[in-house]
Amino acid sequence: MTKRPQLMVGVGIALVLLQQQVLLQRPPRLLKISSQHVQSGTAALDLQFSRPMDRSAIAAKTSITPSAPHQWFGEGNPLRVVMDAPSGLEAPIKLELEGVDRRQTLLQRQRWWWDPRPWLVVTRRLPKGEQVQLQTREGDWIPLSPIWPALQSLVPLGNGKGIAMVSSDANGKETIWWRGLQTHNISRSLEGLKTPSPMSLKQLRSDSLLFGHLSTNLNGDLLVQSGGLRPGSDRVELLQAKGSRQRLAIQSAGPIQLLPAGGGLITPTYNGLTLRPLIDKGAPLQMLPGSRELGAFCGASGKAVLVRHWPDYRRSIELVIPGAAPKQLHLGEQAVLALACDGKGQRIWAVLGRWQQQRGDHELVLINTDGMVMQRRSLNPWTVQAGTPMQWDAVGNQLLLTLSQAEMSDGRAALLDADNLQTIDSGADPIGEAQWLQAG
Amino acid sequence: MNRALLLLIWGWMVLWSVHSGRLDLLMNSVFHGLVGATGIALIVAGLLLLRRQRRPLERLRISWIASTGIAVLMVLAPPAPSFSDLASNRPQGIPQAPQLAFVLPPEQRSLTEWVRLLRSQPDPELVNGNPVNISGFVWRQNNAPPLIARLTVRCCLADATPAGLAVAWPETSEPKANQWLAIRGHMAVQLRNGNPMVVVVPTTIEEIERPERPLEP
Repeated sequence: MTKRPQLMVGVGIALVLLQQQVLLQRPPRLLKISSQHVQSGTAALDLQFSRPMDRSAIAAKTSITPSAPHQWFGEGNPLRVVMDAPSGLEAPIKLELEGVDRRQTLLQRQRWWWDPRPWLVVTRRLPKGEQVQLQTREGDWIPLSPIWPALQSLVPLGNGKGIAMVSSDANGKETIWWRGLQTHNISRSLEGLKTPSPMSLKQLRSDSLLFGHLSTNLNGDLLVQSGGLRPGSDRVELLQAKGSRQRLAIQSAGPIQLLPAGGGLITPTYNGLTLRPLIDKGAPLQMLPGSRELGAFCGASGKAVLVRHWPDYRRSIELVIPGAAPKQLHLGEQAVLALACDGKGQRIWAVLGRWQQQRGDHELVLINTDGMVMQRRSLNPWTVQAGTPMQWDAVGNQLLLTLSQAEMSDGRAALLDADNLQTIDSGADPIGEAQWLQAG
Repeated sequence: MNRALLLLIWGWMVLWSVHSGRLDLLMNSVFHGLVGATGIALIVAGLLLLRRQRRPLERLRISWIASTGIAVLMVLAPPAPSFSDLASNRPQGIPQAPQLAFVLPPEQRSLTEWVRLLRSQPDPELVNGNPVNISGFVWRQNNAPPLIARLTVRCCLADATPAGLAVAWPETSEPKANQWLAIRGHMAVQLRNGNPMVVVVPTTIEEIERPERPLEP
């Protein structure tokens, strides 16, 4: 070997050793920090690092203000912090991230602000039609849609990064829309926490439709079920949060619902509900026979609450736990007008209605998993606006309902404490329907 | 002549390994067709060589004898790998699922699907109480209770990666390393070393034969 190749080999080895030492000495870095909605607590954050971290050191050295119970999960990288504050979170959280990696190299201390509180979005009737609006933390309203003659449906995406809507024109023809939202709920400074910024509006189906049904999951995927005037124009499409779009060959007798944790969906059939995976691996479908409808999912726990209609016109509320027969929590003659469930499937809220003296009498009850009524209150003189949902906010531990009174043409967004069912805020502004938009 | 015979023996050995299922212990099943085609190619090459070389037997070489001996030994001595030892010496970075990790319902999830799910969603409360119906081998741990595990492979045993789940073993059970078990039960959250983690709580534990295809993709 001559001198030149020897020199080249030597330089190469030296460069490799130098690179190895530089990488060894380089401190670990936080690559990505994002909200995680598939979780069992109040709120959760995912942290992606440049290398596996010492979870116990991160948990011990990182401070969270205001102080709230929380736990760190994960096997080094990524890590997840799950907040579990039973009374809810009322303000942004300051996260002072500190710790070491598995080689005990120090992670540079850094401060983050995180506001996991959801946003209130409503449909509102205006002189020229209807519009979707979002309430800022200061209480102002910003438009998220143009004004359309009528709004048939509003679905905030489960990851908080957009909304999907179904509008209709004067002839009853429907159009499906999607609007992305730029979120600012995680920032290096408190001032950086801002209201989501609307991005461009997209039409998801261009032809005129007779119906459009939307469903979302916590990953932000959107299922669009639509049908037009022409025979055979029915279509089921899945728009994944990462951008891909695919048609699903699924027959359904009604609105299909995506499972919150992703990967599956529930289709109503003529003799019950069918649970199926999005990717068919040939496994037998899980079928729940009987006249049942889906009431609410219990977060990502895999549990759900159903309403069962009996031949003698009674209704029961059932809790479905994976792998177990449905558990009846309530049976009665009242109509079940709205249902909600917490993320662990331990608290179930129901609005029960009875027609008395020419008007509806609506009652809100809190039921535990044994079917015991833990709290109840009459909503009089208010009633739940027909067709509007009841939603539980894990961050604030509160319920959101759209309520109205006999003489009102519009509803009000009402916030109720999820434990004692007392009203927190009955909302002053007239609205059509109120829903939560997750902090993205 | 000897060279042709050697090719025929190896071709037959490879085809026999595919046919008898021995390859399932070494390689992901998607590659079995490729290995089978290689066996056929070796046999075809041996036959062509046999047809061309009509001259008398060549001098036997040590390497040819050794190669023939290895092929015969492979047929006579069936492999009995210790998955537990292999798992202990392999990195833990289980490869991403070739398909979605969430397969419904929970009792239809395989052990590796459970492990993938728990690594992508490490919040243990999400699966607390879920029914479990899994099978795997007993993976002995140093200074810790054994796990129930499977080996996942992209290609072959050389890239095998273990996927294990903690089990709340009943006091009466004595799991032995490499024993294959079918466990029915449910998931529970238990504190281990101060950390909440998901543990399989068995209602039934049944000893089973090693499955025909013990390696999972």
